[in-house]
Amino acid sequence: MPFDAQSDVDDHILLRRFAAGDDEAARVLTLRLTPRVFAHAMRLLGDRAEAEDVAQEAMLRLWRIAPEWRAGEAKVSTWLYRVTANLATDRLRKRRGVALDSVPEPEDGAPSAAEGLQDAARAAALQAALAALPERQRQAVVLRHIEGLGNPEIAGIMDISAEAVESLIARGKRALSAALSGRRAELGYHDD
Amino acid sequence: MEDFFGAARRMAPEPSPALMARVLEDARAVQATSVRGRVARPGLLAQLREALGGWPAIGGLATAGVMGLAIGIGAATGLGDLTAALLGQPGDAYLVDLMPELDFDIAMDLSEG
Repeated sequence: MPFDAQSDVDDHILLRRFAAGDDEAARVLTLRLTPRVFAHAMRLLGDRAEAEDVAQEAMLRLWRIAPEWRAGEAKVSTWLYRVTANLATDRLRKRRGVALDSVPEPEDGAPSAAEGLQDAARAAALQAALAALPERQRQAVVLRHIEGLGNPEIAGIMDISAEAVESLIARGKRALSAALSGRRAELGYHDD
Repeated sequence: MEDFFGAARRMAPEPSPALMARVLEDARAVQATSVRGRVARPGLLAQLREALGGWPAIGGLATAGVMGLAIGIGAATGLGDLTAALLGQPGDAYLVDLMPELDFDIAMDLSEG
């Protein structure tokens, strides 16, 4: 069966089919959700190996909860973002106390095609600046401005009010802006 | 800032094929366990059957039950005969001659008139 056959089916319906033993649903969900989970973990952690571990664990938890999943309670993606963020936070807590030098440099995770170099440089600079933010600010900014979620959904994922989300994002963006302003020239911005 | 966020969206980190394969492998493993669990969960009667040792044991148990019933109903008469043969009829009396020599004395008395 081609990938497109179930590609427009809702996540929770696919999850129900998965729980009933549908192999195609397993494949479609893997292809659809793993890249998002991995990208989110990568942005929160800045380390590919750790992000892969977190993504695999988050997806494993999804497979295990599938038979008990009740449609309407939460979006599958919302649940996954929350699990991913919790797993990433655990990793970050364990990482505290590790010398900064041993933390891997952020990766851009993309091929260095000539036309993408500037994007890659900016994405890498943003990743480095994100890594310096407090965890909750980083999570809120990533969910809002990179994953493109609305504040109510972010509030659900982070288990806080929409106002608190707004406040975290505002503070996070101010800090990012300050961190990136010193690198404008090297990132292709030229003051007139 | 939007330039940076846009760049980050365009340069989204891609999962490796190995990760995708591991995730799909996990999915199939969980699926297999879950489906096997559903199939392997027997009903109450099936659990009882298995506890007794399966169909052969159930067959033996049924045969023993029927035989017990048959003996209980049909063999009462036979058992009665056996009991009578061993112990005698309830009305039987036994004569015990405690002074056999008196038989001779009585016979002599009778013959002598």
